[in-house]
Amino acid sequence: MKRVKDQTYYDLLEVPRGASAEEIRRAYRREKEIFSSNSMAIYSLLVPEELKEVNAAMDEAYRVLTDERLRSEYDRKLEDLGEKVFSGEPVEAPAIQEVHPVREEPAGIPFPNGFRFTGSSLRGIRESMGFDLKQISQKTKINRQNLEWLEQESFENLPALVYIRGFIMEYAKALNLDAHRVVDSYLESYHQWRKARNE
Amino acid sequence: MTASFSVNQGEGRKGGKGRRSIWTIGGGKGGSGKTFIAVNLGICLSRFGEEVVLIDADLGGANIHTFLGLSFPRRTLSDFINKRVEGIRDVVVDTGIPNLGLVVGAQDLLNAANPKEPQKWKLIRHINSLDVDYIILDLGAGNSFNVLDFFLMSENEILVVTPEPTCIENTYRFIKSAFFRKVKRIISHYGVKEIIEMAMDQRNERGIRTPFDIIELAGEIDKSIGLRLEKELENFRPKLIVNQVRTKGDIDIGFSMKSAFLKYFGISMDYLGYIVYDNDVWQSIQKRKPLVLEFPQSRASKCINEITLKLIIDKPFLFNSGG
Repeated sequence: MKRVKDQTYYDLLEVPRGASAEEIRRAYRREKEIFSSNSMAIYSLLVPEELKEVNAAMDEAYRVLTDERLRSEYDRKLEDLGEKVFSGEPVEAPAIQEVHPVREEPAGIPFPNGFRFTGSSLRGIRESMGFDLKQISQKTKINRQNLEWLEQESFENLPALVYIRGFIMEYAKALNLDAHRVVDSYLESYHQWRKARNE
Repeated sequence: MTASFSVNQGEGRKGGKGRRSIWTIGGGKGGSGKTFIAVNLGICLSRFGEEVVLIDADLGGANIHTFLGLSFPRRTLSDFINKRVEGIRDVVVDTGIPNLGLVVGAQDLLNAANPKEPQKWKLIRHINSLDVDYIILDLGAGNSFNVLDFFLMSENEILVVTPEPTCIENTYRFIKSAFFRKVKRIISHYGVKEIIEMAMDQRNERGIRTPFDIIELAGEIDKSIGLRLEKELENFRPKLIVNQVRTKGDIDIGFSMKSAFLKYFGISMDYLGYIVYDNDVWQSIQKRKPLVLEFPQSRASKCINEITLKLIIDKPFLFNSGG
């Protein structure tokens, strides 16, 4: 990151190089709101002169980027300076998509690769979402005892593999998780258990 | 060893040595909800089968035990500092919640709020060596060096802010101080140290205000130090939680703070999420029962769960090698 005066117009408005006119317009409005004199978010951060400076910079960025001719001239200038200009390749993730990522419900959580969906982590996720076993049982039509055994990984009490697979699939769906991934991960412990028992 | 804290063996803990991750929770202002958040994050985390230790590092005003409905524990950090026990592990007490242990900073800890330097570093070293999956450190208010040093001991530095001008002001001040403290500890060049020190005084006569100013001046003295500082600035990524959110505008404050701070100070923050203003929170505190256990269905509980998941999803959960 550079000082405001050294940032490109794209950086200033937090848009990718290939941003559409609509994206730029939205970004400009957002930034102007952040840097308005009565915005709480910048309280104590900037002195009035700095605020004026940053607003003037935003206005200029907006003026240039929304004018096709000025924008292509500006892009060429950046290119001459060795800045990477949008070339159809994916640039850095557009900041604009970040405006409202916080959802009301913890749905569709992107668990990282390597996250292990074990009985106890499934229970953790379920409890985190505020579901009790009864609710999951109603949603999945799996009886509560089986759900409990699934969470405890109490394989000796559970029916055959094909049923366990089906149960976990339904359970994962009820929690709005990627069902196939959960099944694969969960069954790792099952296979370990089977192996240990056969030895 | 006399530690009574034991993990619930029956739960099949994912015996992951070295998967320790530390979350430190700070912020400039008292009453923004740091302890409330530390406790509830800890509980959510423990429910994933992770072994968690909460450390009440609010050395002057420890009260995590109250949030958990426990009485003040018999063993505290002062037993460790005064060498009455062997290791910090011995002052981890049971919370009654599976997988969750607690360490309390003693009120008599050598004028509590101000441990001496060597003791502080010893404490930090030992906390670092605790062999559990997660350590959550709840810090006191303010931005004294002691608070900052504890804050900076993790890769997950979490700030709690409420949507009020006073709290926002303190938060900015806190992050700035933390960054200046961090680089001052790293840089040994006397002249550069002086510049950093000057920057810590808001009204310094040279008009040094932002990390950009420091980097520029340091670069003039020694180019490699300038580059080093630039790298540090890039790598410093505190995380932000907005607490007591009442309107959509309050939610957006997190995004706006992130954007403005990056633009003007070059420090990126991650906006972890927000917690709604919820009467259940007040009630749970009155009852001395943790929110996520007492009112698991409340809106605030859901917010905390979501934040916990986001934190887990960050790198620490991934790497077995860690540590």
